Amino acid sequence: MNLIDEAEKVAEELRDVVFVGAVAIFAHIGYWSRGTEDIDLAMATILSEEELEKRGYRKYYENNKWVTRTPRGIKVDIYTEDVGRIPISTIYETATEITGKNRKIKVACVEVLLITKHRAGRAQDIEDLQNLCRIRGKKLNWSLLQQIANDTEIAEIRNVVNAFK
Amino acid sequence: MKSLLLAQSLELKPVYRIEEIIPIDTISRATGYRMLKELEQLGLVERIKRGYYSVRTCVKQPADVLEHLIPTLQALKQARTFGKYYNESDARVAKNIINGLITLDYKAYELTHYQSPSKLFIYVDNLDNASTVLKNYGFSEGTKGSVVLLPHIGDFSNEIQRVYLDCIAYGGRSTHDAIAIELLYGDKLKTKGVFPVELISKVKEDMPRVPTIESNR
Repeated sequence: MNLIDEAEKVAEELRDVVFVGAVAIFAHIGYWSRGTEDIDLAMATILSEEELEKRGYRKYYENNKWVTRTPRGIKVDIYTEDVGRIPISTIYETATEITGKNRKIKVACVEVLLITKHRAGRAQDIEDLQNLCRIRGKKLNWSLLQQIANDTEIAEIRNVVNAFK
Repeated sequence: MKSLLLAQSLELKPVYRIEEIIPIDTISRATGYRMLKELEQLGLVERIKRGYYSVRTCVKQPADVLEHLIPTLQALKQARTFGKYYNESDARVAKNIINGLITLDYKAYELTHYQSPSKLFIYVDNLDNASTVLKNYGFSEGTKGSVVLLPHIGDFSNEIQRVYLDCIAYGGRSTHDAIAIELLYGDKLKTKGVFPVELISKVKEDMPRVPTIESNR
């Protein structure tokens, strides 16, 4: 499965969404990224379960929890309030548009990804953060980082960027 | 080993300044540098550039597991990286021209279909010969490529076990590959790593699967 192709279909079906997670990382660093075949997205206009179902997004009970899947069976996590304590409104305001094969999709900007990855702090987030800084570190918007992160987080990100500069 | 205890006590971070690794308030600078050197020699700590280091996430594994990771860590220390077009076609070409045992990203994907691969890691009998083959096909050696040659070090008698240990040793996202391998091939593994429960749940949740019970809404 091509993650961006799937994201394009999801954007067509759910309209105004911003992709975070693997789709956004792939959009920023291409084939240097690794990820699972699931989709994380931020949604400002919340769709009810009925509305999601009408569009083919169904819920399944797996591993003791309910999981939503796209019409093509891809797991999708929908964030409606915040992602890593960054409000959905900020994620929308700072999102970047990329052009897929058939349409444009919105993805979270690098700065948002860096902060969410830093806050999650798991082994895979550390690797993603290193790759983002290595590949995109020279063009970071530091004033945006100052708006969405605290001083400690900014100092940490600066450390990673300096290390890979 | 004191240096190992030091590394295991570190909080997981993408990059460490030297003073974050060596606690100069409790040990002398000379002892600190000696410990750092030991960790570098083991392959658990990597110097990114002057004053900046990264620590492999596998350092959090218990000592009896770490012992089995040493051959992989040593191989990773001697790894040589190549690229030609610096896109996914490099891995496709290298797969066809290099004889060796594929591990990490591509092998883990073949075994689990869990996570898309990025770099092609291949164990080869002779690094210089394999390097020459790649260069003859227009590959250049450097730090940014996606084809990584590794020297045969350690035991390869149980391929799944070796790939599993390689994934733990490499750390980062490969830790998830290790968990996925254990979930699918646990009966083939003699040595098993230790992972946080929430990470195992996350991998279980994200593993490709056929949905079971549909919502009866």
